[in-house]
Amino acid sequence: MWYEKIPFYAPSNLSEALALCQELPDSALLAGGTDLLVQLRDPNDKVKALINIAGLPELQTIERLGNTVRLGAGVTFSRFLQQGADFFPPLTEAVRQLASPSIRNKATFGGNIVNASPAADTLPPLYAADAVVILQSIHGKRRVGLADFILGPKRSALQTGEILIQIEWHVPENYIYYYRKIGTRRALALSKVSFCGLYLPEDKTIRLAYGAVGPTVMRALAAEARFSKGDKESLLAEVTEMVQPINDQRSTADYRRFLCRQLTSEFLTRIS
Amino acid sequence: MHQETINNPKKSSEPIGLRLKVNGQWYSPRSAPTTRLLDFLRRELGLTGTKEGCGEGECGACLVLLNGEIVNSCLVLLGQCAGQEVTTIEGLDAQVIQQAFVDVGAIQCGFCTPGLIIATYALLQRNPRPNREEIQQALAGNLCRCTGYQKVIKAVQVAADQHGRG
Amino acid sequence: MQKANKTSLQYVGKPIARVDALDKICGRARYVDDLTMPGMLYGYTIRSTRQRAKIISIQFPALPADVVGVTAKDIPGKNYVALFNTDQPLLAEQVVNYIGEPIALLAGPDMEILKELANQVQIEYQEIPSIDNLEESLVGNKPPIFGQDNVFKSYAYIKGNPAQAFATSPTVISGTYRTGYQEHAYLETQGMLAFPYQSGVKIIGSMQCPFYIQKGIAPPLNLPPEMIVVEQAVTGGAFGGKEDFPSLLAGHVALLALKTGKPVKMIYDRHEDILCTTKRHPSRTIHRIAFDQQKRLTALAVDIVLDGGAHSTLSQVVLARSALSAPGVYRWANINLQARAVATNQVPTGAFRGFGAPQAFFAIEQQMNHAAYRLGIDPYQLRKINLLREGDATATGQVLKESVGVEKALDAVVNKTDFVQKYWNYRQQNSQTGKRKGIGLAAFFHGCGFTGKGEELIKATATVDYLPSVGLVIRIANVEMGQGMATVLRQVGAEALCIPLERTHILGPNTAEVPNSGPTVASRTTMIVGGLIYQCCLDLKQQIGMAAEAANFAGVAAQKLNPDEHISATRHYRVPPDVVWDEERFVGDAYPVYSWGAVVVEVEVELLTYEVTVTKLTAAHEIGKAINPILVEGQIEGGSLQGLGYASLENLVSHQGQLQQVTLTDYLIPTILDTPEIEPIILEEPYSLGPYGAKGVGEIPFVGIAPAYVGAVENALGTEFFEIPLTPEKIYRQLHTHTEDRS
Repeated sequence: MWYEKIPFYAPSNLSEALALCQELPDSALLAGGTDLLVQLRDPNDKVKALINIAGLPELQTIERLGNTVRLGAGVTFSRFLQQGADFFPPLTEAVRQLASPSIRNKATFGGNIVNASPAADTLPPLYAADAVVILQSIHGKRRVGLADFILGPKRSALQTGEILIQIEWHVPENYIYYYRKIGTRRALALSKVSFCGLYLPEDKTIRLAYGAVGPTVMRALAAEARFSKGDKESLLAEVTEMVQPINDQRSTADYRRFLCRQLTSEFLTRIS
Repeated sequence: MHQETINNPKKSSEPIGLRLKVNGQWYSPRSAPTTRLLDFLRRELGLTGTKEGCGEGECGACLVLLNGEIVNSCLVLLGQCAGQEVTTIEGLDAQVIQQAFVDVGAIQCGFCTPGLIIATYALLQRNPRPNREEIQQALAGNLCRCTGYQKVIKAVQVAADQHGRG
Repeated sequence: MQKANKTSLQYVGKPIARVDALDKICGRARYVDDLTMPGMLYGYTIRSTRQRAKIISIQFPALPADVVGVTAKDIPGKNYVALFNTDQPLLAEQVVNYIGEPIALLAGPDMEILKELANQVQIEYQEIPSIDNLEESLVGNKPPIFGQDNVFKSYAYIKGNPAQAFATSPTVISGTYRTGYQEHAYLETQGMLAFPYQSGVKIIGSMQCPFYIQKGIAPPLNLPPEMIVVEQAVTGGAFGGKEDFPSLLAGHVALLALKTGKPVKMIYDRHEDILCTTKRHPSRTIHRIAFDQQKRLTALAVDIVLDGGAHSTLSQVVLARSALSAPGVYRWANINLQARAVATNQVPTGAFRGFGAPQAFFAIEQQMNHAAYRLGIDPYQLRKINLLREGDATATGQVLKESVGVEKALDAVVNKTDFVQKYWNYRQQNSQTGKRKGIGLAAFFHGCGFTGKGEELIKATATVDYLPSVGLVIRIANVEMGQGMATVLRQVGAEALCIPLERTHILGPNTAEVPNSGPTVASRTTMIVGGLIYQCCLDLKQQIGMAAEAANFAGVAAQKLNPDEHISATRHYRVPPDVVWDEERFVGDAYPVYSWGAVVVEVEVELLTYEVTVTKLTAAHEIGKAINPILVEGQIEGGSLQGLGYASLENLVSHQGQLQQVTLTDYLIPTILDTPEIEPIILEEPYSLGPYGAKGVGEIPFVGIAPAYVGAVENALGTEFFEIPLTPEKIYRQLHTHTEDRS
């Protein structure tokens, strides 16, 4: 591969990694590599160095304290399924259906988020949970809402010198969830549509998040607001109005819009 | 160059320091740390039993064990394996599984076979008595275009039974 | 041919483990990319980025001393790859006709440098209006790609009086059926290694047909064929994809090897392989069938068009099989058939398991499924009424004298699945939520061996040697590509001579060492080549004075032969004298014999999403004799799943000449989680001229899956479908834009 000639850095802790990251603006952070190394097959890629952050101890947090879940960006999907499967079941379902076992052994939460794919499997549950990402550089840390962090396909608010170190969210009390990924086949499939719905019975609100039907994963905030009015049809119309699916090599815009309606409707039926 | 200004980075275009264990033996690779593990195994060590079917983690022909876990060696860089243990089909002690694949007829063109055997080995290490669903889940990253997978599933079941007896 | 007494068989009919299994499970089997040679260079191909254009100029960047670049100007001989026609250039010279067409080649020691240099090659084009698809090709308002009318080949015939039959029949069923591209997706991509050898060149690689390569690239290399030595490496799947395409690739590496004087290896990555190697022909079939009051078929009118892509390659023979399969497994008095393969500015299409038959059977079997619905009869009964049986004549007038197992196969799958009961039960479903079940049926044949005069033209030759110290050595050009031929043919040899399997050997296919027993295609290896080996073995017996039935060959040979002496026998395939085919009139015996099959697919359709889950696939195939049942099951299971992929999810489309799914991330084939339980049923109606009664099995498992699958979805949803792959997107589109709901 062309990138055999570029340097490889193996920092042994986060502060080394942050220093490297600051010094090498044209470098790429390598964690699980399951997306990055596919992208680097393009010989026109301009990456000048790789900084390996897989396994950095500071990125391995996996904990639930009270209702707060904290996941280090370096946590692999396999490890999450072993140690965090009961934290937030909609996310667990998404991760179980993600790619394949060997990919899940390497791929990380941080990578899935930073890659900023509208079809990223972990995102709809994390959007529904109003997750926050924690970014760190040599200048300090900042917290950004996930929906503000992801700007578009492969675009995020990550600044030069920053590393996504942690994802954090509050698991609501007594929620009911519905998660569905529609792919072309049952493994190793990118989503045509993915959907996560949460119902919070205590404040009688819902949260709706859709993957692969817009430039980013989308929360249907206007439709969520209609829930209290009890008009299912207008809520569904709002959803189909909001999503911006396209025709591509995997599916069609019409079918994707139909799926958004159908899955939302199914969710509403289940919570009624 | 940027890298000279930094303290204490384990940089490494030069291979010094990078060692890894492959099939029980330690190596200090000549290949750059940004070499794909797959290329290192095939080119430098001549371990050609690990195959490249797609180069992007979709087919599983390149599966190896990294510290006992299956990984796509086309998506792992040599530098990420420092101090770690790699097992390829050539170094795998999996006679029971291999014999089951032969007896049941789970092999046709053979190109996906090493990857399937690696994945089966990892499964049975973790779960010696898998049911059909668990077998399918465990081998979901291994494409096979010849067999229709029926005999692959059966081979894993037979191997599990043999393990159980042995 | 003698049929051995069933009870006495020691090897034939036994589930013997594959002879190549050990190397494969240990990772020791050496595929072409596993081979290296001292001083070996890599090769890289520079391809057209235009769908159709004149090449104005080709400008290489300054090349380092150790890199060589070649274009069509460097071809020592004629610039074509020889097959049926001479229209496919080894390297495009004046024009390019598809995106991905090879234009120039580079060879050098470092692949990454080659890729960088390839990026800097400047090619100036002048666009020509391109022909996107078969409809545009038929319209003919753009400059033709091939000949005057873009038609690579056409067949047409009329039998009886179809016009009158349609006019007088009470029921006529019509439909236009479409099938898409399919990519072989063999796990091993295409690859070749070539090096100067003696005064010519030697080629080692992944292939089905060593002699096709030799013959195909002799004209461009300007070498006598025998100076091109071709050897097969272990081949990681082929399915037809390595029938004709390897000749082009072999020509490229050979050209580079001769130019540089060094070994050159070229291995396609997956993207390149999907982009520029052959595919299954997309098709459009306009179909009409008519029935009388008794639901007997009276007339067939069918117009098949195959999209052959930019060059003719194998399209004419693929088309012949489509035309011969179009009438299905039924009796016809009146037929009006037209079949055409046309040129488009797309990657050339070629051989793929089934070879034109799956497209034709999709149309006829869907017609039968639709007819059953409209006639208020179940699809099984309708087929039973019209089925070909022993003694009947096929559409081309071939009288089926023996080994006609279609009714047996049909009964087997129907009984095994309780088809009729389920079919009517599922028709009553009217739930609008949850899941609906469906069951579908198809019946089909596959002609064994080459179509028409093919075997006569090839004149397959096999040789066997017997050496007391070694045993039987089989010399043939056929290849093991996963299907199990090496095991099966050794079983035939061991059985015929009553010697242990370990004392039989197959000489690896190398054109310098084996006679031309023909390509490994057309479900012909077991029946045709296995038959020659069987006869050769009988010849050996005769040479040492043994009767054909006698056992103890090794003992007698040990007495009659010195330890260093050997005996040989050679046989040439002769088409049986009563097999007569008239290519011009499309009349007669299209194949020596047919394998027959029937399949039932059971599905669940989720009404929320229109996702379809196949819950069970039951396939019965009548193949004369299963020489090795475990390998036959492997063919049935693998072919069935490949067929389900074709029917349901393998979506490959071209937009302005650019294939849209060119990685295994986008072109999806079934995984182990997508496979249903597949139940193979092997039926045997021995063929008197096949070895131990055997016919072919390599392709037939694929042939009828698509209509059985689509029929099952129709049974669940009460709607007719006309196109594969039948994706949830298409189900949605049809149910939400058409109002024609039958439920």
